[in-house]
Amino acid sequence: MAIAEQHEPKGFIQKYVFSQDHKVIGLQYIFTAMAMCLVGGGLSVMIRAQLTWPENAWGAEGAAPLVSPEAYLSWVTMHGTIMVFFVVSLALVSGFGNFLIPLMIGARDMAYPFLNMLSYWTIVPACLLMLVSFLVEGGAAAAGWTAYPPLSALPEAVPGSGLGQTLWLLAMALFIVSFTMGGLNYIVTILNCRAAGMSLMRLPLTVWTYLTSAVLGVLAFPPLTAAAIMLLLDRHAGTSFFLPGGLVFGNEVTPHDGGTPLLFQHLFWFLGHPEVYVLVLPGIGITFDIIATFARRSIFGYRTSVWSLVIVGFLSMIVWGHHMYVTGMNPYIGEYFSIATVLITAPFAVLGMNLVASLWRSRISFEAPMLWALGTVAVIGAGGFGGLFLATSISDIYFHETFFVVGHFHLMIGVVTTLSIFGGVYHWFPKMFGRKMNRRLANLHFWTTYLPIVGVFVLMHFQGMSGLLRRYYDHSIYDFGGDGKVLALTITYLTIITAGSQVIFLANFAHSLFKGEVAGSNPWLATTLEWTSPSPAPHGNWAGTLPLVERGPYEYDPGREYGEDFTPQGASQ
Amino acid sequence: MFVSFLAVVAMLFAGFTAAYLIRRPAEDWVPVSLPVWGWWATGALIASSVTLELARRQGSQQLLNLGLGLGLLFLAGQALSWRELASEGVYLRSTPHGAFYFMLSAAHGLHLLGGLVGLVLTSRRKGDLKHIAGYWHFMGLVWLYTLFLLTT
Repeated sequence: MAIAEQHEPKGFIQKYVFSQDHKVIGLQYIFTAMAMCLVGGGLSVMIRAQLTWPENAWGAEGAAPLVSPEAYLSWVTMHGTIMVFFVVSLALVSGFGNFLIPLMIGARDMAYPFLNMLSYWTIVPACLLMLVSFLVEGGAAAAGWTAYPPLSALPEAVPGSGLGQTLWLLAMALFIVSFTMGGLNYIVTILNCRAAGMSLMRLPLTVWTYLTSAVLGVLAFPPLTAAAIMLLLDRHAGTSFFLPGGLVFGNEVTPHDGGTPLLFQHLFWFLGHPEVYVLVLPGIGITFDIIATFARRSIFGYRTSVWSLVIVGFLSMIVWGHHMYVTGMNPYIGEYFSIATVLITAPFAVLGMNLVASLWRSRISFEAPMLWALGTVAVIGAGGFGGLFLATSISDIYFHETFFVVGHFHLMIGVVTTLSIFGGVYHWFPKMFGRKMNRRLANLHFWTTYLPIVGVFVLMHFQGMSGLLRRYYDHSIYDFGGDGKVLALTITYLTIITAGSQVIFLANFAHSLFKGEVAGSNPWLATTLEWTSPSPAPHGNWAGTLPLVERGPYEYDPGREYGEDFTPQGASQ
Repeated sequence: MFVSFLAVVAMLFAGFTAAYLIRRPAEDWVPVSLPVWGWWATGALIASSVTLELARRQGSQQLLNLGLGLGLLFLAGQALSWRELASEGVYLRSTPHGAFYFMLSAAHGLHLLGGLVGLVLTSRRKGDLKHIAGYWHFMGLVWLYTLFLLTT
């Protein structure tokens, strides 16, 4: 392809700002996600503070409440939107995806480097619009990250439904455009730009998960685009796609008639559910690769893992209705969605099984990336069990409006993804910057993040079982007794510890960037192609010819001494 | 890239289809008779597909220009059909059926406009027209499908 002849970029702007190099773009995404995480993560601490001390801010005697009910809705909405679309999607899918795919498949760059740059520079205005919406009149959008009508469709519904919601829709439109361009780029790159000998069944599992998640994203986002267009028309052109008749605001009946918010929910969750897998699957892929490296053995059941991924991907497109059991849907349809959702457990259990079985009779070295990978495996199990109760309509109807749901989805798309992002950073930091991160600080960061963050969301399951309702600004009018208060306080303290622990990470990151131990091209003695390129990987990834791939991705021999127990997939000549 | 992008467009219209089918049984649904201009425009679109395909196979610039002209004619016909609907008192906000007509023809028209730009750019730099012409045919089929959806 034409990429090979691309000239090395000259000058700061071409090299680091408007770069077409996949590695720079990947890092741009990761740094953007880190910046957005300061806002999204900061909001989660503020939300906890409000829920714990609804009467006076931070529990201080005589202080006014931290936030008004309207602004609280904005906080929750923006926390969800930023975390799902502008932190996890950006870091895990766009960031690591761009950085890893060409390196792992033996390509010099993505198939369309210019399109890739365009994707990133479409995200930047999206981020800015999201952030600016906090400052406009009425505040940021307040209809939830799901943007349900009527709150999102009637500009006069709540303060955040005005300009804030419009900016939200614009930012999301840009995000969808960027993500679709990125997804198309991933699919073409993985299918057409592999090095000689890199057959599909020799791809590292990380690349397989990116392929699956790109296909899902490309198929699931367009219906959301359709929904967003109809929402805009409802908001600004007076149509009634999602708005029923008889809505009253400020003693005036709205002119809309005949629409239904349910329609929006269907279209939204047709994207929303696959989106969960778009986020979680790459996390699982990264975990597979880290486990193979630090367990020093081949992945158990490579082929079954690949097929399970494909089946999970397919099933994830036909189960969206399980988010809508309480909408009064026909019980037979509910039954179908229950069965289909529980079916996903089967391929997912295969993936989990293979992850655990890959540890069997292995020589585990507990380096920093491995801690996060093992943590991820544990949370996939715990989160998955909670999912069973929500997959089945009978139990979901009880749990749906409670913190059980909050705990469950945070474990899966919050904790699994965060843990694998950290695992990925510690694992590929040498490839990104040519240095290793400090191991002691990494261990400290792991334990001070892992225990509290899991604690937060496991405890929320118990809050949910006791009936604590989600989406509420103030629970104090309900009597949950002393235990409930203790539980809420514990969760808040754990949240603050988790947030504080990230200072350790940032310090380690900054320190290692300049002072870290210099790493060779393959510091972890791993087999996949990216470790045959120098650290940090140069423009074009390999100085000589592209690598020739001769074997599968996980060729470890547990019978040999450490250091001689691995055979790389191939090498540059 | 080609097939995956067609899949993106197909899923967009699948989303609209789902919305249409769910919205239709509502009580306020008043069927609107579709504008006559729309049918003429459709004829022009089919003719443009045939011409463009011939132009591509024979490498003829004149046929290509004719095809592009027919494409523009289609878009003009769509604009006239909007005027026609408006003159009958059908606006975006007045009935859901009309709203779907306006929205779907606009969404399709914008995609076709993109195809038109692509055709011009590709033929300017003497590139292979295979994929962009394929996209044009695909958008033609999408329009026929949209008409089928709106009239049945």
